[in-house]
Amino acid sequence: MLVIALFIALMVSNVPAALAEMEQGYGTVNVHVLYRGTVPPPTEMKVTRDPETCGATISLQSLTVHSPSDGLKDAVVMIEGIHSSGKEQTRTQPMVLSNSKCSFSPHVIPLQTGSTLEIQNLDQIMHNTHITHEIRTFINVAMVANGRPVAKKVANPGLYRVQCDVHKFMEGYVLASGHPYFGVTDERGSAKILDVPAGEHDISVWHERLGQLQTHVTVPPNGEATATFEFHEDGTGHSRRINR
Amino acid sequence: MRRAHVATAAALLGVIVSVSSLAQAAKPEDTAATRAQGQALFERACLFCHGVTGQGDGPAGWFLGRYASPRPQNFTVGSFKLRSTPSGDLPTDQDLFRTITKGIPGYMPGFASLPETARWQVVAYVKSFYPGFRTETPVPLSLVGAPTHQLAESLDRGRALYTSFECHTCHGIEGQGDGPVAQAGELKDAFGLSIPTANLTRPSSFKNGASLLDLVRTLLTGLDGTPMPSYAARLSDRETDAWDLAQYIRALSAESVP
Repeated sequence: MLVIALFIALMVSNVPAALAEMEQGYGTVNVHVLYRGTVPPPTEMKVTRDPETCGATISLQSLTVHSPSDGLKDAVVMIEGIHSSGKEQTRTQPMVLSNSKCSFSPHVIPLQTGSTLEIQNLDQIMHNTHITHEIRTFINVAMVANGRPVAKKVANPGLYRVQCDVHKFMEGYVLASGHPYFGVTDERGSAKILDVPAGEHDISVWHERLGQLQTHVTVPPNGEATATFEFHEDGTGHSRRINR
Repeated sequence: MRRAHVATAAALLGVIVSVSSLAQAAKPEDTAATRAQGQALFERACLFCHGVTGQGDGPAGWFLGRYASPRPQNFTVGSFKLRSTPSGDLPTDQDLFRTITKGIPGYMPGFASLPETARWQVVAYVKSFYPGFRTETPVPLSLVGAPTHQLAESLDRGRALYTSFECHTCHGIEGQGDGPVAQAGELKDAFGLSIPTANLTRPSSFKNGASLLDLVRTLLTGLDGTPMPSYAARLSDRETDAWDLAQYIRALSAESVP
């Protein structure tokens, strides 16, 4: 009897929290990331290994900016300071990182911790995919032509740098988030983060060359909020926000 | 001949299993007291190279040269070269015990003279420098299989693999550590310091051991924190290839290996 009473008491005590959660709802955050300024010319490098696959020269451009909108591609946007409740839908589907035509595709991969990163080599030459998390090796694996893909679970959040020790010009990034509220900008510099718990949130953007900016959004229940980030040529930046 | 190879490998594995069992028998539980005893030993024997906080910045490092590399192991980073585990994973306790016992040729003395229990105490203390040891469970790669080809055939296959795996780009065609990438000075460790390539004609200098089993393990695990990759993706379901390549690497030198 005492057990039943305790159970009922616990249920009742959880009711306000459950109601609050239901009332809280979820919204969408639309993000636009812009680059204002002159896009520097790409760096041309002579290829010394495997030119039959990689080409005689390679053009490296870490800023992909859409004209005329100034939208910046491959910027990762992420809600900050939010913790996984364990109830939201996770985004832990496997993510594929390809060695393709002597570059990493996609160039930037955002994922949720717990996801499996699958590395494959589509080229007919050997690559060496070497991924580090800060200084620690995440994986350093020789990818011979026609070899099997390699899969490894990403357990820790943070920035992972992807390199090929055979072709030094190859570079990519993996950003691991502890929650599912993140996205990466498309060719027009846009990203959408769905099903964000309604309320006040900090949101940040990261770009491999331009660094990080942060702003604040208020996500209305079943509504949308918009955050716009601007990186400037002189290394500064600012952001705007709109709630609807 | 094939039966002889299998018998040799079985005997070898038997020895390894029995050595591990002996070592495990003396392994104390990883408690605060064990770590404290390990710390006392560490401060007597390891601190001079590995530093008070285990960052590889002990005073003896200055005698090695500030920018000489490889630096003494930094235990706080979580990357370990000498492992039996997949690339990026932490070493097992047995891996750490093996390194402490055997040392690293040319760099670190072996401490086989310490009682086994003392070496396990040091293992427990070294692990306390990196929090990941409390949350991760390293699992060794399975090193099953054994040489199945006759030596001449094995060497032919190993030679072809040495080329197709592009080992020569770092280690050189003759294995003397003079491949074009090494000569260009492009090989750097995780700290950005230039590091030399192993001279495969001098197996007594191999950091991870020079027995066939040691070489197969190194090919499968790679050496984390260096450009030496793991070939597990290619070799894990073709163990015969790993043994053939190991045979070929051993044959690059006439130096006898215990």
